[in-house]
Formats: sequence, C-alpha cells, structure tokens
Amino acid sequence: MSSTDSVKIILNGKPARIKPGLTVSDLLIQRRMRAELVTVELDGTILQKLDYDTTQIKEGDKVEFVFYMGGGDLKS
Amino acid sequence: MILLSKKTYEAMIEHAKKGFPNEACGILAGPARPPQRLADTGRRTVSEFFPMTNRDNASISYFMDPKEQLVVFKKMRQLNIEMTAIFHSHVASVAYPSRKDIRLAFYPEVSYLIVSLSDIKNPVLRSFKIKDEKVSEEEIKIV
Repeated sequence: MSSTDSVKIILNGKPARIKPGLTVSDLLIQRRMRAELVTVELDGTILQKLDYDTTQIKEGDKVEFVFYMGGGDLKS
Repeated sequence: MILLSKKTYEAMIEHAKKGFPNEACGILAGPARPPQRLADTGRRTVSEFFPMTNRDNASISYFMDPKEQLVVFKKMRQLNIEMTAIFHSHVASVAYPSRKDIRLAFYPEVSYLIVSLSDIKNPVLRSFKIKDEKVSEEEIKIV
C-alpha cells in the first residue's frame, strides 16, 4: 500500500498502514475481529461499541485492541 | 512447557486466595517468542505476573477489566515482554477449562493457567493450550 492511498497509524504499538476513511468497524472486519469480543481504545480513550460504525480512523491515530478475557467455573 | 519461578507461583496462589470465595484472574508475561526463522522449543518462561481485577466479582466467573488489560499490554511493550499466559481460579471445581473458558479463549498462542481452590490448603495448578476449542494440557515447571 503506498503512502498516497493509505494512512499511517499505530496499531497495538506497531506502525501500520490502512486504507483512508476506514471506520473502527471496518478495521475490525478487515482484521476478522468480532466487535462484541474486543475493547478498542483510540488515542487513549476507550470507545463505546455504538461508536465503532461512525468513528473514522485518521492519520497518526493510536489504536489498541484487546480481546475479552473471561471465563469461569466448570459448571458454567 | 511453561516455566514459572517459585515467586511467581506464590504470587498467583496468594492472589487467588485473596480473591476467594470469588474467582481471581491475572496475566503472565515473559520474553518474546523466538523469530519464526528460529526453532521454537515450545518452552515459555514467565518473568512477570500482573494481578487483575475480576470485574464479575463472582465465584463462578471472571471478566478482566478492559482498562486494566490495556494498561498491562502497554506495560508489557515497555518491558519488551509479551503475554505468556492467562490465569484464573476455580474456587469449587477442578483445574480444567470450563465450556465458558474454552468458548472465550481468544489467544491460542498463550497458555491458560487454572488453579483449583476446591481444597484451599492444597491448590492445584494446571496449564492448557486452547486452540479452535480443543484443549491440550502442558507441563508446568516451577524453578
């Protein structure tokens, strides 16, 4: 992807290039991540899931994804 | 095989007991895996234990606080280490992944450590890999 048709972001601490105009939802789909199973932080703020569809990722943004970590007892 | 120091082991057990009768949880981290071009022995060494808050505050489930997760992931990057294992306790059942543990195992590359406190004076710690909902046990060595 050349620099003219991409934007540079920091994704989980590493530089990455993505297509311009992607929303958080688009990026999750591209990375095959289910929105309901991840927490997304954008420039230090945890996003509400409702905002994933409308939040566009811009040049220089710092994006962090973490998967849900949970579970429980054998009976559950 | 997962290698734990006695200090890490004791910190995990203490954290689990402190959380009792609720489940407790944490993240373990150690040196990064070797690059793909080098042979991977499958051995993982733990150098850090990060106790986490069980936001479920329950005896039959745990859910890590995402804010804490993000802090720990950034800390691991600063220390140039990576997540080696995810730890939690079962307070009344055996140290084996539940259906829920298996369903929610989203990190196939790490180990899932479970300690049973059903006999609280004699905790039993076991380690598993969970990939594509298949569970395989691995050896734990406390050094």
